[in-house]
Amino acid sequence: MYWFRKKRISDLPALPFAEIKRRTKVLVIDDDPDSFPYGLMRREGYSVEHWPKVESVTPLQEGQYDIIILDIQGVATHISPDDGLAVLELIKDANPSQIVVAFSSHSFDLSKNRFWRRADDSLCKPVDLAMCKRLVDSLIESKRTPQHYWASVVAMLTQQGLTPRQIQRVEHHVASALDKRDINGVSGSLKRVVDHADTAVKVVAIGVKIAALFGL
Amino acid sequence: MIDLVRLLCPYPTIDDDGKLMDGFLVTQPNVCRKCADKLCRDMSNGDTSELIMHKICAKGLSCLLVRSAFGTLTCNGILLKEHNLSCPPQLRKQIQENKIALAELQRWYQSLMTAIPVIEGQAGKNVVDAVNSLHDVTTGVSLVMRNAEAIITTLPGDTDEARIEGAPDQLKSLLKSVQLLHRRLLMPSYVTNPQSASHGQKRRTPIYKIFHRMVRLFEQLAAKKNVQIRMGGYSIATPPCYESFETIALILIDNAIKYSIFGGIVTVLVSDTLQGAVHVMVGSDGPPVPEDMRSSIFEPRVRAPRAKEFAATGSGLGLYIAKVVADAHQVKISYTCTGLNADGKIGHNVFAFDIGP
Repeated sequence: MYWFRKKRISDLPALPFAEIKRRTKVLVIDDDPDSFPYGLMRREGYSVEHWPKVESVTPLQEGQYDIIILDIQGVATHISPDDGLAVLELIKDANPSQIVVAFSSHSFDLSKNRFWRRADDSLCKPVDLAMCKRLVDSLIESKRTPQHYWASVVAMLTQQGLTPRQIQRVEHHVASALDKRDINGVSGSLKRVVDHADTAVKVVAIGVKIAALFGL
Repeated sequence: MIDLVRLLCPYPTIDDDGKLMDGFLVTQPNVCRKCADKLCRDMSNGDTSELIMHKICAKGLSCLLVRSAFGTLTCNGILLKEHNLSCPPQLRKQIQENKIALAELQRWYQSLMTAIPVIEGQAGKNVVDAVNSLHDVTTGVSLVMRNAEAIITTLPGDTDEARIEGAPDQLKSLLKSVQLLHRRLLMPSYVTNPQSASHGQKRRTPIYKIFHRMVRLFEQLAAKKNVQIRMGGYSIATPPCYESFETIALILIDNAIKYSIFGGIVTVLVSDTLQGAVHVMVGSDGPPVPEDMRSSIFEPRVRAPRAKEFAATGSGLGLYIAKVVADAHQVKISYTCTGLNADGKIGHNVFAFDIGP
């Protein structure tokens, strides 16, 4: 029976699409200032930032942006000869739940297929406003969800040696805290079960992302 | 690539269809030219070896199946000195020049295996260099797109579609041309890297809307040929598609206009099926594809002879690209031609496919 079942994150009502769209922070990293319709996207109500180069990988790994649209060439030669591909791998290795879109005109190049495969989605240049809106909207619908982020938490907790039953219990605590709109409760429930300090930081950061989708 | 291997082969060869070809050192013996059976193509009972398989044919000559990463090649009409002692003495005398040692063949094979990746690498590099030069074009088109979008936003209307609809005709034409150019620029990738047709995530796609938008983009081009485009059907299904799907609509409508008779009608029909799929059909009156070419029209650089008369320009890559994108969606495009006129030069050509559910 439902009322005996432990509360799960998927039982709670997340914010409506329009609100999540308004809160979603999109970062475009591209050396060409005209490749993306920044002004028009902002007019359409999206929060879009532009970096001509990767200034630092840390904010990208820490999840400071919800969707990163990353060019393949000329954005990170100072970080690695692999350029954008290296940045994508650094982000995904540190934070698999981070949504990254491969953005390039190099889709013809077989050697870059790894870049397209590792990313969550792709955008092939040149792009128009309709394509960009379609992409961001579909990512908000499919990946900016509590389930997507919780799957990452489950993977990390499993790696920490937690059993499915223990993870279920953590989910119950997190869901209860979300229901009570207690952000500290969310962080506390996650922090408590992770021994490794680095992993705890990552798990809590994802927990905060989940809480944001419920308006906390 | 196997065609290149055949050209570089010093020994006579035979292809799957039984077509003989001289080697650049050793030619086809008369006995093979006259042979009706061409049983050398069947190597099923050959002496198995990892890369080179040997068999003696009914006439007593050696046949070799050479396997490589680029395909298999059958060398025929030779006499392998060490392995073929059953060749009748009379024939042995006749084909003196076709006697070779296995070591010679192995040496050729080794050098070929070293050379081909180098040739392939260079060819690939040339393609990448050529397509790379499109980067500046892409940057230019991006700039035009940004300016076009900026103009659209100044127009009255609540949505982009409403704004474009209310725009002056000349501006509308300009916007359509830019959008068409933009979509065409994405096409070379599917030739050089077919995997790019399935890059990204599949999204629910309104097929009717995609074709309708494409019809609108092509109206001006069609009018130049006095061709009318009629769109019909009813579809609300939105099967999951990659971004590349739009290319199929572009190619099929473009071809229908290009190969339509002057003053003809192009019909585009998009309708939902009872099984939940979407049935798409693009038809026009024009030159039929000859029966013997129908199985190969989706191969690269294949153009029917009468198609060249109708449209002198064309790379023969359009339907190949459509097939690459269709394959990425597990879709099969079919071609049929009905209602041939008296001289058989004009018929009703239809390209159709089902997508989803």
